Amino acid sequence: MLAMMLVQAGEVAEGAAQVAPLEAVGQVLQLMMSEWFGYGGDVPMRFFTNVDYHQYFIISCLVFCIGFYGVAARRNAISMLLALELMLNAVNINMSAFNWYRGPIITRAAFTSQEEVVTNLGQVFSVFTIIVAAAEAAVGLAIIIAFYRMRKSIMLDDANLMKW
Amino acid sequence: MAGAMQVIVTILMAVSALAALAAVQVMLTDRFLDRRSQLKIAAIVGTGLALVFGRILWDPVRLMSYLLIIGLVVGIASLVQLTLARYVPRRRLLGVLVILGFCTFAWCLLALTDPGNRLYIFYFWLFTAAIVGGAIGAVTMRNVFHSALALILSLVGVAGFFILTNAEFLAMVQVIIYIGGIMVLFLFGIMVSQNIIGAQLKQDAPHAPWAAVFAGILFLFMFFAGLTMTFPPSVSVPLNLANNTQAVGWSLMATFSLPFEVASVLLLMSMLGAIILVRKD
Repeated sequence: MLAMMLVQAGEVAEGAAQVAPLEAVGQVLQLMMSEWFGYGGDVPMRFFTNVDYHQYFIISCLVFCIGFYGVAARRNAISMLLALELMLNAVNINMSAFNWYRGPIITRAAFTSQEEVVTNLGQVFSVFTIIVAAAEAAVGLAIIIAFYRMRKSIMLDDANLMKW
Repeated sequence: MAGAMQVIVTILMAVSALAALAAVQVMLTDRFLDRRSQLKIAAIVGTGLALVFGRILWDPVRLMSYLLIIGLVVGIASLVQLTLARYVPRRRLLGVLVILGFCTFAWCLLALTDPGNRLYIFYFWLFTAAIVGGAIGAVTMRNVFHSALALILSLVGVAGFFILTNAEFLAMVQVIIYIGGIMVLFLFGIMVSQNIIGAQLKQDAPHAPWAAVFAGILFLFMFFAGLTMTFPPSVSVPLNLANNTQAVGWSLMATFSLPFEVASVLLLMSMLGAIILVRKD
């Protein structure tokens, strides 16, 4: 495999002597990818070499699922709240990316003399999400502290007072 | 020559995919199962993934390429983890860092090959590494304080994403309020409610593998929904206002004044609620 890589590097270097070495490395990499995968057309690496809305969406989904796993699988109440913050941040990423790639909307602003105003709706929604996250983090931590004073433990297994 | 190469690549990829699945299972659960049950779980999950991918990606070469990428990345991490198993107290953290380092290195290489917006792509994947690494650390680490610090790293990456999508006001709000307010509150809460700071307890509930399975299914669902998503063409909008902060401020004060006031009432309620709950009497 190493020999094949060197042969391909030699071929590329013969044809493009004036190209900078970084370009040559890139060409060698792309040649390797297209050679290994059998055809040089739609390589899945296109996902990693372009940045469009889809990349932001996939990252947002990934962080959301990691947060979901954290909420469902952690024993500590504070760890659960941390993963919940992760989920909210994933939603914020998605909103902001959608706002940038779809374009802001034009609304008629209330209480102003301007006819049309650009509204970055994704960013405004993210601001409200951050506000709500702050509120629920404060109240959640207060509940946890009150519970800790009573039971001296923050493990969710010990929150079994309502068990019949 | 090419046929033999593809056979070798296929075998390598099958081995690395199995190692990757075993590594993921080891990383997500707190206990280290014996080899036989690991291989059983890896075989079942691998067969399921092959069925899912094979159903949707009809072309076997694309399927192999996806599996190769995932398998190489996680397989290398599994090898590093297994070699460092006994002598390193934070092998999980090191495994995550190896994955992140390899991903960042590979993606930087690939991003620099593209003649277009290289720097944007580089920063995008750098912030992605921070976000995903911080997220995995936040849900995996045994020390709660360390998981809060990993979440702070993740939030810094999210602020970077906001800057990349031209939401500078939101990035500043994220850093000041989310990291500087909410995460500091979490750190205080952790310090108040733990008997011994730095306690290394087992953090995962016994039903954690099921949660991982459901999270994986959810991610696959959203992933394929995103792949088949068609996007309406964006409208080029002339910006009336000077900068992003002015635009968001204008929206909050004029168009969204009612939600703004309701949000302030919500914050007042949460403040009162937190004070009443924590009061001692």
